[in-house]
Amino acid sequence: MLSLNKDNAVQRRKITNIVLEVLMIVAALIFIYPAVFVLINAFKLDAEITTNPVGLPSAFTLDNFHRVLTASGDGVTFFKALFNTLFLALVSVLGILLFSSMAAWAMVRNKGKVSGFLFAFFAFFLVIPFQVIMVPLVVLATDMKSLNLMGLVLMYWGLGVPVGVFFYHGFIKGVPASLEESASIDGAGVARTFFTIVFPLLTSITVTVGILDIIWVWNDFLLPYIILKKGTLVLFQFANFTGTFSTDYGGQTASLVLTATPVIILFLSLQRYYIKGIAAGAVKG
Amino acid sequence: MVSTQAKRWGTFAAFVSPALILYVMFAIVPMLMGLWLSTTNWDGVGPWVPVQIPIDRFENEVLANLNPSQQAFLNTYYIKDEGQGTYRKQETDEKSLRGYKKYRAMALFSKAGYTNPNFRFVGLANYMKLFSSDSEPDFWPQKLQVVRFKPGDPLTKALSIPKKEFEENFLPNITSSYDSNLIKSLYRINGENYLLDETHFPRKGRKFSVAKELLAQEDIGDEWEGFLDAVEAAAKNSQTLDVQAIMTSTITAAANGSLSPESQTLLENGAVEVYDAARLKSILSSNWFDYSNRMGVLLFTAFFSISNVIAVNVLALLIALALDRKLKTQNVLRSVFFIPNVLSMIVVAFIWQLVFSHVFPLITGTSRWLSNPDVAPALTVTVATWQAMGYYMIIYLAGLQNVPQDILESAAIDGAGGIKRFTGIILPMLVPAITIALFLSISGSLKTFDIIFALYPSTTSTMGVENLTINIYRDAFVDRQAGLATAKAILLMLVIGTITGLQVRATKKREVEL
Amino acid sequence: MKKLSFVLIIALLSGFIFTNCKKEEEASADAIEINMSYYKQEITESLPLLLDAFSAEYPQVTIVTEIHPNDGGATNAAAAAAGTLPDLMQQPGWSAIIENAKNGYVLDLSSQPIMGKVIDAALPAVTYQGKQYAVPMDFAGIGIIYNINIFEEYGLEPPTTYLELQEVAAILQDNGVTPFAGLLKENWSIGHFLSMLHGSMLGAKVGGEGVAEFAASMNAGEADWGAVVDSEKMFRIIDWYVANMDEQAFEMNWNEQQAAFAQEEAAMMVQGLWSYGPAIGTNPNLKCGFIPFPWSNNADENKFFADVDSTFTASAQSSPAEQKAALSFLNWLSNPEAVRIWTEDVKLTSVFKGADLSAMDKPFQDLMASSATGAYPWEFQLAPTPTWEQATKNGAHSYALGAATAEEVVASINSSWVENYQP
Repeated sequence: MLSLNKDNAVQRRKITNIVLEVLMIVAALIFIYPAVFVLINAFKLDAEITTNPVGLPSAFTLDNFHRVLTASGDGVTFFKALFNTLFLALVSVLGILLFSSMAAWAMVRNKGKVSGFLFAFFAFFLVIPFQVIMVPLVVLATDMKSLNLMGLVLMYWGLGVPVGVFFYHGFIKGVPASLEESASIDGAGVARTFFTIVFPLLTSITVTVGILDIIWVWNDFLLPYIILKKGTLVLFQFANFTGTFSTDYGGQTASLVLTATPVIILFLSLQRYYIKGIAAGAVKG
Repeated sequence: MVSTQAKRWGTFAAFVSPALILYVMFAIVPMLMGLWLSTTNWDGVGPWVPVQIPIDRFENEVLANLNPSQQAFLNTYYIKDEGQGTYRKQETDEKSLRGYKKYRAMALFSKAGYTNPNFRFVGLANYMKLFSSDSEPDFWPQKLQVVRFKPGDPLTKALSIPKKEFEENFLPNITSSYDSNLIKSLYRINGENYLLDETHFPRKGRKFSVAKELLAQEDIGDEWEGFLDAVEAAAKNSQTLDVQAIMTSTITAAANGSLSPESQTLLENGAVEVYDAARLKSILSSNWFDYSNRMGVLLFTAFFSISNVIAVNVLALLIALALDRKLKTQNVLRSVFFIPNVLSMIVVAFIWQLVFSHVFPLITGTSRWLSNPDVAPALTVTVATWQAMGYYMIIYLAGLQNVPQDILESAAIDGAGGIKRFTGIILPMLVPAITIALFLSISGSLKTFDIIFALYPSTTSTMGVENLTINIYRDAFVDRQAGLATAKAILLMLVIGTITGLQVRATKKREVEL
Repeated sequence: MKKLSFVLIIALLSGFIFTNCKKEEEASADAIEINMSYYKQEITESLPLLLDAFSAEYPQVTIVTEIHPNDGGATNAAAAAAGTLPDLMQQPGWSAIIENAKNGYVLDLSSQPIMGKVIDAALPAVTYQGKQYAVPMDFAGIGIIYNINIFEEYGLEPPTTYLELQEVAAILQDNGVTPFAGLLKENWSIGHFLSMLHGSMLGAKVGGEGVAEFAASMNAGEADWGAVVDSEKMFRIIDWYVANMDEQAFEMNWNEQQAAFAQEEAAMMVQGLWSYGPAIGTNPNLKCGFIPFPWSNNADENKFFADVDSTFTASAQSSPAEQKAALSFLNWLSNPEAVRIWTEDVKLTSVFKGADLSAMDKPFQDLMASSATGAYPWEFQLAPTPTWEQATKNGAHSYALGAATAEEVVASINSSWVENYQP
């Protein structure tokens, strides 16, 4: 009697799975269809984008990509801009990862009122709308002479650590302290313990926060716009083609495709870690 | 014992300091400065320290009131330019008036009695302005009357009126029985529409062909416009059946004896076109309207946030449940649903603008989507949900991973149905994930800026899709009122803090400890 | 793994420092480098030609450019606060000049030789309290760009009165051609239209100086924006204009308006002449002309709504040497070679006396030829920024949507002007 129920359940499950799979594939196609537009239009000649935005390109062309890659607005070429953005994203994110993991670990291992207060202090950040600080940030950066890429990195560090601390805190709570204790018994210093023993254990949450922050920094528009000279970030290639009143859709779509691709590839290759990290860090937090 | 404690706090401080210092410097301090700015009248662009100041003012008003060392300080940065007649602020890489020196200069100027019109302390004036009743009409919901036929519209727009429009938005609004009967006599129902009896208004009878004839008359000439305007005015104001008499008397009065009989007749004949059409147009433009609601900034912010939070979380949860079953294409599907989250807002807006203007009309037959203020709010929610859903799907997928499979399986074997398994086992274990997702989605949607701004760069307020953050941006950068904008932002911050604080407390209580 | 990441970080840092390091220039005694900012994205490729010609005559001056997109002067203000204003700046006329002059950011150029070479119609836009603070460079106008081929096909002449315009539109409608390519998804074009009608009607009544006087009395709260012209007629023209657009006009943005015009689906568009370039780019076979929007039935009253579009200013924060170099550039601009490059390569009109425009396309020539007999100044430049941005643009847009009445639009412009005026 029992085995029959189990067989039925398994059978039902199999069928539901197949139906579900088909349904989800269809849903995914519909869901992603709008984005396919941009991709298709990047391969069209400029004139055709305005005359025929919806259909497939009649003359498949790499002209737009070529234009974006070779254009130089005020001496800033695409590759220089790409390099700047890469630098910005990597250094910002690495800094955020380093500083937030350190702070979170110290807070978890030193439970008490101070740590509790600090945690709430960091979480307070999520409540601040960017509009409150956007004008003061420009004023402060002007005063500190940091209206440049390095200044922007510092800002991203400051703006990114709260969320980082948030995630690391949750994750580290689930990491047993036993390994660290035996290391300290063996005479290892605190710094050494952290970097050689603890940090490697944090891989999945590091990947998670890393991806989150890279997407954020890579796609952020308003802050770099008000701080930096135009054209130094990849996103700003967009500005190269959008003047006061004119639009060059071909250049725009091509540059948008080019700037979105790295992040997509990054996510695709690391998604397993990403999800595991969120599971452990955010959800348990 | 004491030294280990001290050592412990020392390491603690060392580890926490970098993050803390950076956070304070780039988030907290700006926030406090924002608080300060909200008490000033700064417009966001004017200089805090004058860049140029006329020679006599600088010497007599400013320098005269300061002691020698203060004077020397200012003189290092301001050089006299006889050609321009002013003292100019000169900055180089080595000597620049920024940081604490700038604030010192500001203090010196105010001490000397020189008021900077660009930057004055106004206390709580900005906040008071927000709460006074007449300052921000588009903050509150409004019911707008939307006119379907404007006074200058051509009659061609009223040749065919859809049944619903005619019977609900036009005929009932007509108060005068004469007009009402006139309309009823002129319009006949034909299927889904009411059609205008065109024999009464031959399309060829347009005002300008009449005008051309009159222009050619020597004694009328350039005056044709005046005559026809008089006829039109008479038409709008009268309510009588004897059209001819009205016209004749109007024209006679306007002519004042200067017209030949032939011209008069020509005028009267031509003016008939104008008269009847003007009467009809007048009735149409006064009585054919509908009502349209604008939510106003506050209500729209609430509407957008609530709808977005619900849509995103429900959709994300459903898809996560569906994808949690070890399907063959699981990885690919997950990525596909996540990709929109990776795109920048400009891309997303660009994509959806194309979709709304080219694809939706084909599928549904309605041609106006983004430009229709009645559906615009819902459209912004749709696009924002599409963009954000993937992120929350990941959170729920992660949360589902924490649900033990064996409990689920034994429940299934015991005969518990899908829904019972969901509500009894899965949901309670998902509470941590739900807490996070709600917290992030609530604060995120209240702060949404990019996506709405990208969809409606200049028309957020006329379309009724302006939320608080866009309103603040508009104040700061378009209306040049940085002080007021920051005051609003501070209030927004308090609101977000309160709501999310309450939400976290409420959901944390229901967490199931493993 | 850790070592690798450390190495990567060091590599990146050094690479960054290498590429962004400021090299200390070993300048010779006379050589000087100054900065110039510009906002017109369209001239990115052609501006260097102008600067090269200048350097050929003044070899010791090098000019380095940077683009500041039209963001309402925020970049400018930030630069001024930081003391990093470029030595030369391209600025729009009127309000930008007034703001820069008021805040003391730019030099008084009244006594410079170049100002004597500028046509009179272009001076008001760069004047603040009686002094000139910028060199006007090009004249732009808003009017009807029309398709000559379509007009010829239906035997139409460019209309000179409102009556003729209505007739042209009626004939086009009868033949299935959309009279006007529409742009109602955004608010700026219909805002321009409203301002154009008001400014032209007012200008016809009181002349160019009268418009400035009107603005002054609006500032003092003594005038009524709707009462100074025939408002009823003004709004009726708007109704007619909207009714003769594409049915999808409310969904169309600037790019789509271009497309409709360039693909010859619409015969006309009411736009600034800046739209001509992109239209030709999409369809090089277009033959266009440019006429003022004939709102009046008196042909003499129909002049272009045209004004100075871009100017060059000099920063007040430059060192004396930089200032001298900047002024030498400004004074060189009326040089025939400079004018030639400006009109032929940069493709903008020139406001210098005696400029030769024969190499420009017909629409530009139409504009300058007509402006010789007078043009109506851009009234919207004289209004406070929020009045133009909110009350006028959004007011016109709401009106077109049917959501606001004419009285409401006028009332909001009146109250906004008084409230936001800052001396």
